[in-house]
Amino acid sequence: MVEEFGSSSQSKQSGARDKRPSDEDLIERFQKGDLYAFDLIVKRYKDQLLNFVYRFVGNQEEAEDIVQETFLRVYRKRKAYKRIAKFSTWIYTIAGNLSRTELRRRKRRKLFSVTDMGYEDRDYEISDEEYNPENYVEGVIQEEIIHKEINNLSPKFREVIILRDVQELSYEEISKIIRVPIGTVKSRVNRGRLKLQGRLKYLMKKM
Amino acid sequence: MPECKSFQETIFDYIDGLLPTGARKDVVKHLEECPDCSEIYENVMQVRWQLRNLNSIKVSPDFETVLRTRISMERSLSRRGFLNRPIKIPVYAATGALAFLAAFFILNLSDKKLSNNSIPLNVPPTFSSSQFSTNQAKPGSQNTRQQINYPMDRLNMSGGTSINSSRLERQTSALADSVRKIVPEGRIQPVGVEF
Repeated sequence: MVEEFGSSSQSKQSGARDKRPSDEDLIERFQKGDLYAFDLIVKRYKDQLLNFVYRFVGNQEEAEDIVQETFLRVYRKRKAYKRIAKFSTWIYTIAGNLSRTELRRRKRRKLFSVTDMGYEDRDYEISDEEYNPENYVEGVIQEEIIHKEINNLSPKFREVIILRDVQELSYEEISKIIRVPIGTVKSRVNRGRLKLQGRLKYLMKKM
Repeated sequence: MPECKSFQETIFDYIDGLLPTGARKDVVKHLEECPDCSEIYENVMQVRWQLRNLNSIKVSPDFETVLRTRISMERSLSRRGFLNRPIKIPVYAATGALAFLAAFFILNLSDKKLSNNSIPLNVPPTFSSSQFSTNQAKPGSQNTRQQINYPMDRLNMSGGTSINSSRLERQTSALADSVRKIVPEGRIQPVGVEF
């Protein structure tokens, strides 16, 4: 009997707390019809993917749409996943492909602009103890500058920089996600870092 | 410094912690001696730290509700009959049209073949001279035999049969006689058959 998506039982939740199932276990359960496992995958990856896609496409609303679409693809194509690959690689590949498609679409329409990203639209998590209005404003401005500079990189550098330095994935994993050799990934990361440090030099000196 | 350009790769490997101990010591030594590389190293480390500590954003509160709704819609769509699936309709229509066209052409072709080669089954075939294509011997030629393409031969996919014209006349009159015996005179006149 297939469970309804979102129907979580108490016993299952306590079971999950005792021993956290791996992503691969969850997708396998989902492939067998357990929609609760899909629910757990969504909870596990929604923010992680949103941050990756947001840094990549530069707009939170569009990023959220892409993440929605990513989960829908996982839902539809669940049978296509084979356990030989890491689930995280698979889901990041889907999200990355969708983000690249979005960037291409934008390029075609010539609507790409990095100025439409008001920080007031964002939903940052700031702990109460650290909150200080001055620091907050300064931090937000700095973050805004860094975010803009990330977006000023070309997509091929941007993607690897986000995956390596923001998401902290290994070179091997990035190589599988974007389907290029590890040497190329390293070279792109290094060149991206050099570009970023050149553009953000003035900001680093202030700190 | 030109040698620093090639050293940059090693610096990045050092930053990523991918160097063995010996090579790490070389990098540290170089960074102490070279201010340019040292500046790049410091800046990259700071950028990297900034990137790792960027504020993380969260999905909107209704994210999962929206996703569930979309999935429910998708599931209800997939439960509909196979003919209701919009993507299938053109495929089925095209297949049907192709099958119809194929059947039409096959039937049409076989009809044509039949009409070209058929002879009434209940009537022994006799032919007028107009039904044969004959290659008349040239005047003055020694060869008095005529090349006759006999229509029945076309059924057997073979070439024309060469027969003597007097023999043909005999065969034709014999066939005509046999038809007269079978079919009472005046009742049936097979089309295209002369007696």
